[in-house]
Parts: sequence; structure tokens; C-alpha cells
Amino acid sequence: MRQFYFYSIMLFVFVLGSCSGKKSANNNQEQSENPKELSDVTGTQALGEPHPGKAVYQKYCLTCHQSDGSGVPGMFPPLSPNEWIADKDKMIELMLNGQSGEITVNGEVYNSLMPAHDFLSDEQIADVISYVRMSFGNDLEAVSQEEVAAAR
Amino acid sequence: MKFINLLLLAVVFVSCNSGSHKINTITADSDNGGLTLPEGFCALVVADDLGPARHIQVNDQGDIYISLNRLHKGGGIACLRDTTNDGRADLIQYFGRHHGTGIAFWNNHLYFGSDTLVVRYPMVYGQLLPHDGEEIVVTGLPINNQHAAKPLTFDQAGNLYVTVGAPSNACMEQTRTKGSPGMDPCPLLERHGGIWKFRADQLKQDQVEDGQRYATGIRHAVAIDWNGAENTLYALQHGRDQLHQFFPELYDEKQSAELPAEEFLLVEEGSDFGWPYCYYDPITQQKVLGPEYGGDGTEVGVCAAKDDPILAFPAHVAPNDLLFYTGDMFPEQYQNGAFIAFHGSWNRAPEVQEGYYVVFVPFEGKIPSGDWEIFADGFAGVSPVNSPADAQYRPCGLAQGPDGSLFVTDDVKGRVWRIMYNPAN
Repeated sequence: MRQFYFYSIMLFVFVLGSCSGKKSANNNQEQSENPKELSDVTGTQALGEPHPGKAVYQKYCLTCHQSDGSGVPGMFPPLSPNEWIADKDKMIELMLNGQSGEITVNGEVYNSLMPAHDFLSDEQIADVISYVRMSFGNDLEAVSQEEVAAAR
Repeated sequence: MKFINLLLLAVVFVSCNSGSHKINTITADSDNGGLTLPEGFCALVVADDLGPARHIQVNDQGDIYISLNRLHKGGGIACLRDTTNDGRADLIQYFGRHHGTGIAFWNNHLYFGSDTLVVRYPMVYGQLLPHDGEEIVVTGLPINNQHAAKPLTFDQAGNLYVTVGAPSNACMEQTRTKGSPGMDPCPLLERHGGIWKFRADQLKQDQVEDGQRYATGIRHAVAIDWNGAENTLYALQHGRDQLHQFFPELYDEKQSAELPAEEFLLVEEGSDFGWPYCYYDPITQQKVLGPEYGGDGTEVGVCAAKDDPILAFPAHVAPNDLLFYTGDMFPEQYQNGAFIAFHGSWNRAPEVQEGYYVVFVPFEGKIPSGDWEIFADGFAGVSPVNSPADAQYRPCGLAQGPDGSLFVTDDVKGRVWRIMYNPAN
């Protein structure tokens, strides 16, 4: 039975993957002049490289904020559209300095600690913020490494 | 009054049949409130939308008291009464100015563990709301921005036990920062990461001056209960996180999702369970040195001297309450055994999340007599749970009712279930 579930899930993932693959392929054709601006909502692209911020996200952010950016209710806020994601400067500051104390995101209160990620390079920070700002339902402009360097 | 209550109890009987509603009959919900249960058991939803419902107590009259993680409708304690004897709460009032997790009765008082204080309120027989005369029992508990809950329990000798979690993952110099070493000795252990013992009837006790550090080396225990039959304290630890994230050269993502075990602890005076220096590996069944302290995943070092758990649960499933069952409603195999509510994991990502269930552990004397089994499941409403936000409900608190029913709370939407047994079902 477990195996059946496993194969069903794999099949589902495969079907999902192939749908998003097609979508990304179309996007790729339309916007091929700048691969960084590709919308990478599903994180799968049949053609071209995945957004460079995705690897940074998977390594440093995913544990708490989850693979779908939904966060952990009551602990870590979601990365779906909210007032923090919308504020580019705040995002850079969050990455460089971390965050502690009570905050409100989309009306929900959180009081956990996010460590500073100032050990990442300007490019990595710019990439991961840009990735978040174009994923999980967000459709916001990218952040440049110069903007991160200026804030550091 | 007591005689009338007894008479009332006599005519109230439990029915697991999903037939029509009858006066003075507690009929389970046809879908058991969304839960899957062993054969012969059934459940009903007592109340919904109570706010972030944490721990729960039911008194001899069947009134229900639930701690809330945030103030909700002006109070930090939800007080529930069923005035029509159908098992559903129809009178719900909110009380108290603190929010938190710990809640328990002792000597006609309701004790409440807020994140920094233990307070108590006198109970007046027959009245739903406690008396407003708040008294401070314990003060000076540290404010934590993680693992803030202060759960509590009592022994039979008039002592109060309060767990104080560590605001830390593994006592790194810089909290949850890759490459930061573990502090040795860990200064947090002076006031955190253990269970403190106080007098139940003494007011304004300070954690350091008046409290006794009863046991240490416990990262965060939300589940704590005194087993009256064995005169022994038990707790369950939320184990450490992020082995792969901080030590990718030692642990892959799968190992990180499956290490370390959540530990079921038999707590004695002076016990040391080894946090932050050690964690329990459920595969090799031993405590090993944490990587922040030079461990490589197999080295034991100082951990050989630390106390082992009596049972190991899967990693990260977050045990949030413990109840030793003493009722006579459930079959004999459940007598004096342990029910444990698991909140479900968040830190198994990218693996699927697990552990949104209530389990049962059979006991013989002081230790488990068999393996654990899932008792109540289906809280999450989805399977698999890819992210915690997908879970509709997450089990958090457990209580036993006067008739032996088992109550379970959820802190996502604030639902309360009552689980009953009737073999005629």
C-alpha cells in the first residue's frame, strides 16, 4: 500500500513537473535575454539554469521557511506576499542583521529568532532576495548586489 | 449537590453510535471530528475556534480549562462548560490576563504557567470562572524568544515542577549560526534547559533563590506529567534541529530529518540528559557527542555518563503533552499507560513532515512494556504533510475527564476533541 502511495505521489510530481516545465519553456522563449528575470515559482525549469537564488534558499532558508515558502505557523512567517517582502531595504537588512523580537506579518504575530546571514556574499544575498521576491506568489523586482553592498 | 451530580452521571451514558441526538446521551460525531481511532473508540468535537489552545485540564464537575498561547477574546484561559449534557461545550468564557502553556489544578486552585510567571487562582465549587484573586507562585522565570512555554505539574507531596526550556538549539555562541561553536560549559543551563522544583503552596518564589534545579540537560520539555501510581516524574524533550544545515559534511538531509530522537524521559532528582553536549541516536541507541562539541556522529565522549531516555520517538515530531491514563472507561491495556500528543514536525524539510498524532505507550511499572502505537490520527487533514502550514489541526494538550474520556486540544484553530470508548459501537 505504501509503495502504491509512493508511486502515486511520484506520478503526481512527474505530471506537475512536466506541466511547469512547459510553462517555463514558454517563459524562457519570451524572456531569454535575461535568465535571472525568469519567474521560478515552481522551482523547476525545463530549459536554462534555475534561478541562482534557489540554491541559496534551499541551503539557508528552506528549513524554517519551508520548500513552498509557507513558513511555520506561530514560529516562522510565510514568504508569500506580505509587507516585509515588499520592502526591499527591509529584506536586505533582515539578511545582513537577522531579526529578533516580536513582529507582525500579515496580521500574525511572530517572536522567533532569525540569525544574521552576513556571511553570505553580496551576490548570494541579492540572489536569494530576488528569488523570494519572484516566488511564492510574489512578483516583485530583483535586488542587485550593489544594493546589498551599499547597505552592508 | 454532589448527589444530584451522581444521579446525572448515572443517566448520562456514552454512545459511539452516530444515531440521532438524545437528551442526556453523549453521542459521538459521525466522522469522529475528523479523527481516526482504534476500534471501539469514537470522538466528538467539544468546542471550536477557542484560539491557540495549548494544555487542558478537566475538573471533577467536567468543566474544562485550557491555556492559550496568546490572549484571545480578552483572556489567556478558555473556560468551558457543557450545561446540556450532550458533551459539547455551550458556555465558553475567557479568563486571566496572562497567556502561556502550563495549566493544572492543585488544592482547589488553578495554576497557570505564563512564559515568565506561575500564578494561581482559587476555584469556587460550582462556578465556572476561577476567583479573580490572582497570586504569584513563581516569579523571575526567564523570557525566551524560543521555547518560551512553562508547562507544570504536581507531585503528591505538595511540590510543583516547572520546565524551563533553553532559548537555543545547541548552545552555540551565536544562536543558530553555521560555524559557531558550542559553549562549554553552557551558561544557559544555570537557568534554562531543565526542570525546576518549587513548593506548591508558597507564594512569590524566585526561580534561582527558592527553586531547586531538579533535573538538567533537557533542551525543551513541553510534555510533563507526574505518574501518581509510580510516584515518578516524566517528561519528553524536543530534540535539537538542523544537523545538516550546520554540519553538511557530517549529516545529509535525510539523516538531519531522522536525527536525533525525541526522548521520553524518566526524570529523577539530579538527572542529566545531556543537552546541549549530547543527543540520542535512535539507530545506534546511544547518546553521542553533538557536532558543536567536536562530535562526528559516532563519538560518545562525555555522553556515556548522561541519562538515556526510556523510549525514543522519531526526530522532530515535537511531543507537547503527556498523560498517564488512570480512568476506567478505556480497556485494561490502557491503564497506567501514557498518551502523548505530538504537535508534528517543521524541521524535516525538504523531507515530508510527520508526527501530527496522539500516541499510546503501554507501561509496566516505571517503564514502557511495549512499543508505542498511533492512537489518534487525522489531525492534519492532509497526507502527506509537506509543510506545517498545510496541517488543519495540530495536537497540543491532553486531559482525562471524570468519566475517563480523553480530551485533546489543537492550537491551530482551537478545537477540542473528546475521545470515548464503547465496545458496543
